Amino acid sequence: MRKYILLAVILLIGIAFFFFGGNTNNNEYKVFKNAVMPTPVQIAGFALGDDVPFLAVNLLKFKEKAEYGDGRETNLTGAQAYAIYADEVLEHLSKVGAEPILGGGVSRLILGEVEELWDVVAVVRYPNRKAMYQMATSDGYMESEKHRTAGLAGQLNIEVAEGELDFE
Amino acid sequence: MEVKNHLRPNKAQMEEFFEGDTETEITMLNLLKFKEKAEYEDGRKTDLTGREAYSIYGKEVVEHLEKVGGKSVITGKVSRLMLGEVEDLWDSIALARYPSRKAMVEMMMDSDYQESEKHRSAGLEGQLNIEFKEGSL
Repeated sequence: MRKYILLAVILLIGIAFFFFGGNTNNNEYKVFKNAVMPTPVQIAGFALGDDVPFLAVNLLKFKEKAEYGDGRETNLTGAQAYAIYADEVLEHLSKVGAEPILGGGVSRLILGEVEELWDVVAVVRYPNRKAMYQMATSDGYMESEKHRTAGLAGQLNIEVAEGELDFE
Repeated sequence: MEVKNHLRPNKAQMEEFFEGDTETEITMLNLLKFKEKAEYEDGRKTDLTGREAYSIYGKEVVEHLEKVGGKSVITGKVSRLMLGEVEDLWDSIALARYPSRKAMVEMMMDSDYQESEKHRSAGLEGQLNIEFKEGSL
């Protein structure tokens, strides 16, 4: 008899958890994936849209240790390898009329939940999509980019149309 | 990986406001997701969309920020994701700078702010709010 009561209690707890467990907000967990390289659809997106300035909001996650695509030995951390890229990219940006706006190390998440928090936020303004594509496909950039892929575990890059405070 | 937008900080996140460095400048990146239709917590009738309700908050919060020495730095609409994948892309972003965590708490405790905040919670489905320290790449 006790066994059945125990079983019933476990079942009830299970049902209660199903309905109320963990979900204190209205919205559900959403899946996201950081990436190092854009998908073909994302690349095609650079050819579309208006010829207007935009912001690129980068959320970066570094590898613990840098790993270069050409297999070279290195003692750099992921953050250190990416820092080489971040330094060199300034010149590549200015060549196409783009400029870094602000950036910095993430300290914590005040609102929301993320399975694995990003390390750095960096915001860049580009004159248009073509300029970004032009930079990303230039030889000089691709040389610097080796440090980026060596250091970066993955990222989100959000394109934002800068607007007024009214959000409309 | 998983991500979940929230409307309010949880208990641990509230406690963190008062821990560690509460005195130096911080920048907040808000990734915002709006409700389709605004819903006010006091149950009032409204025809506003979530974005429209949040916009009322967005305009009013500028003054609340200034009162504590903060500043709205960037706002904008998300047009697409250039890299990575997100199941449900955010609608807008907002970047604000505060002189300190203490200043941010001060703003949130202000009764005028709380009045404006009604439009925020009416329009916002949820958000991420990422705190970072500018310059420390």
